[in-house]
Amino acid sequence: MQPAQIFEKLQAEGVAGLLEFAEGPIDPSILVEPDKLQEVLSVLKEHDDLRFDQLSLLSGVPYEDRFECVYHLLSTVLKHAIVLRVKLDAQEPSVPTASTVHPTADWHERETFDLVGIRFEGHPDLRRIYLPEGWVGHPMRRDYVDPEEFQGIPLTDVKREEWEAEEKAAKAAAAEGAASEEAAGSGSDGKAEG
Amino acid sequence: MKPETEKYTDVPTQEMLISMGPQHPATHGVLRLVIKADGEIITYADVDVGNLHRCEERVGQNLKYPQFVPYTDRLDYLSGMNNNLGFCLSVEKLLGVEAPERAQYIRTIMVELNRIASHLVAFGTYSLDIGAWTPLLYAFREREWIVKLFEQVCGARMTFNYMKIGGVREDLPTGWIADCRRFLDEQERRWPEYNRILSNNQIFIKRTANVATVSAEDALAFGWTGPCLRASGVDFDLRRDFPYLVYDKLDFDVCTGEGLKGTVGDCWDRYWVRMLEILQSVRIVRQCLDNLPDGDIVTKEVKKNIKPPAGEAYVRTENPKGEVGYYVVSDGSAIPWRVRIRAPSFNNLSLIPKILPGLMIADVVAFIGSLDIVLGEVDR
Amino acid sequence: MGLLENRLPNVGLFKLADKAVDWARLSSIWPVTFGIACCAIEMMATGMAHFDLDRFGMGVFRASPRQADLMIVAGTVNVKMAPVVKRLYEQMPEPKWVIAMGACGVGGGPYCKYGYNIIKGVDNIIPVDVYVPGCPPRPEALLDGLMRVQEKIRKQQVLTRKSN
Repeated sequence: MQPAQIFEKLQAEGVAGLLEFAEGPIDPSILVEPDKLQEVLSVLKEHDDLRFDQLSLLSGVPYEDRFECVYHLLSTVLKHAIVLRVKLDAQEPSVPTASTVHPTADWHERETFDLVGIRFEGHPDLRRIYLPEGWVGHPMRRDYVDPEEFQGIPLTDVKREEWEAEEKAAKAAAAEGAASEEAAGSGSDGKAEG
Repeated sequence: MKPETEKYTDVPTQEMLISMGPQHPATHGVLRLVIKADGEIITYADVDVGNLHRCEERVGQNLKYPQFVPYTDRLDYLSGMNNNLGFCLSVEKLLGVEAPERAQYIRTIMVELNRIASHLVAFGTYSLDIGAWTPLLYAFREREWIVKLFEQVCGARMTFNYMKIGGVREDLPTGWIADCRRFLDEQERRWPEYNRILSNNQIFIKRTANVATVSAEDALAFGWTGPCLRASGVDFDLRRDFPYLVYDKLDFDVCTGEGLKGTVGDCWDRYWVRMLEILQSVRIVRQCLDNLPDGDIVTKEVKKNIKPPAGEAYVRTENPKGEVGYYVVSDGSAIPWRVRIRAPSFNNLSLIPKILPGLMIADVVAFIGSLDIVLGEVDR
Repeated sequence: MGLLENRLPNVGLFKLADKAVDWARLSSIWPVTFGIACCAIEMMATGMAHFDLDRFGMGVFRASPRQADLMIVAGTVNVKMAPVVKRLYEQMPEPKWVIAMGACGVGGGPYCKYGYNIIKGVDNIIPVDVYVPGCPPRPEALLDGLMRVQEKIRKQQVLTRKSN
């Protein structure tokens, strides 16, 4: 089934929470209300003509004025795919968890929380998955500044800076030595001439 | 005399907390498992990933489209060609272009040869985990040949950067096709050797058959794709069901697990599906070599400064490990707004907290080896 | 070597004894199995039949760092992994050597600019003896690096007194 037909099917079933069907650009997607997300996912999974049994990917995308959570679904039985999206608040993005319907969302949501900072309500164990405990900030946000060190471990090339400083000092010393030699040499020349 | 077990019922026991990894000879990289075990049997397992987190998605937000292609090699470093292809296909979908016919055939050949190489490493390292040294040498003997073929085409042994957005970077050199055909003949001839050493070996069967059986519902629910999903009995292959490149013109079988030595979906099945796929890939490459057309290797519609129109694209491809997808969001400039990578090993690993309780510690090694994970793409 | 370390005079037969100890050490370096990322695959390929580390005496990869004397840091080290690398290095008994393999171990590699949790070069946490550049370095390049470690060992004075 094509994405437009899937949207019509959902509307015909009377599923609440469908906001609009975006034809593009490129990948058509269905915009869903955050509160009704779990319902829509269950209907997509259980309905006989839809049978979306696998959640391929859950992504959090930060924009300037909002966050978006995008769900790519796949049906291994009926061989079709659809994209769902939810628009979230820019200050405190939060959406109900999809892991009640698709257990695979468990780790994807942890990753999105870790890197983008979207909170998932109802998630059994929302904690950081990639970055160590104690890390501050969400790196995939646009305003993230790289830290210089973390719990004593240097995150800049300290060794290289030391080596460059040594090289510079050595060059300066060599230049001074050459200059003083020249001065001494020209002084003696002057004396010889004079 | 009282039997042994009755003598010790009043001894207090405690659960043991074991940290397996990140430096471990059998975890396929820097994976850390935290396991609570009651004697030898596991009661709780948790996975600690992130020891190889290399900020790939952040890099994708800051570099231009062609500059990101080398980074895709380093995700699943055993199948660089497949990852290159996934990214290039997503960007080509955004641009609305298609690679020329010859480039598509060459891409298929490279991708399938890489599939053979990746499955060979899976075979070799799995045998090493179980305790057999020799199959690893056999696997790398064939892999060196494939890697030499790749080196003749693009100059690199592992991080190829061969697929360009719009085609491939270089054409096949003279004599390459004959060399490739010789390799395919040798690979077919040597395939039964692997069965004699490992697949039908009683010790290997005892360690992998009926161990950590995963049902089809569990596999689908936890996002499993690729050989692991097919071993659980689900007949789904992206090459046949969502065809890309020239797979719709080719003739190949999709191998599923049948529980030949144990139950459907056990470790032996996952291993066996990979071995069968090696033969199918040989078949595919032969067909591509027979039908290779002449023509351009890069489409002329792609300009030097790639600026796709604003939009999003997600293309699924069949990696040796499963489904790889690149979700690329473009805002109209030369640098992508977001590159989100779908890594199959990440999903394949997420079933561990559910499957491990009840297994013995030695079976953990057999299970992880059968998943064929690559930490580069789990951690991205 | 305990009591005899740097005690003997640097002359004649003692020099020969030194050479013998050095030769024994460089012909039997045992690396610890520590592959982190893509370079680990090239390290495995170097150990396999085609390039063969075993002819250098280095074929015995030990899983425990307490039984090894060479650590090949093959791959990117990030913040989560850094205490592990340091702990492994400290667990190795003297004499020990470290090879930083690949661009990531040498100076952060391709991730040095935008990697927010990458250690920019493993020499920021442990002392490194030989740097092998490449991404990944060819097996021949790794063999060259290993031979340089062997050169370094060849010049060591173990039994004889070092002159100031």
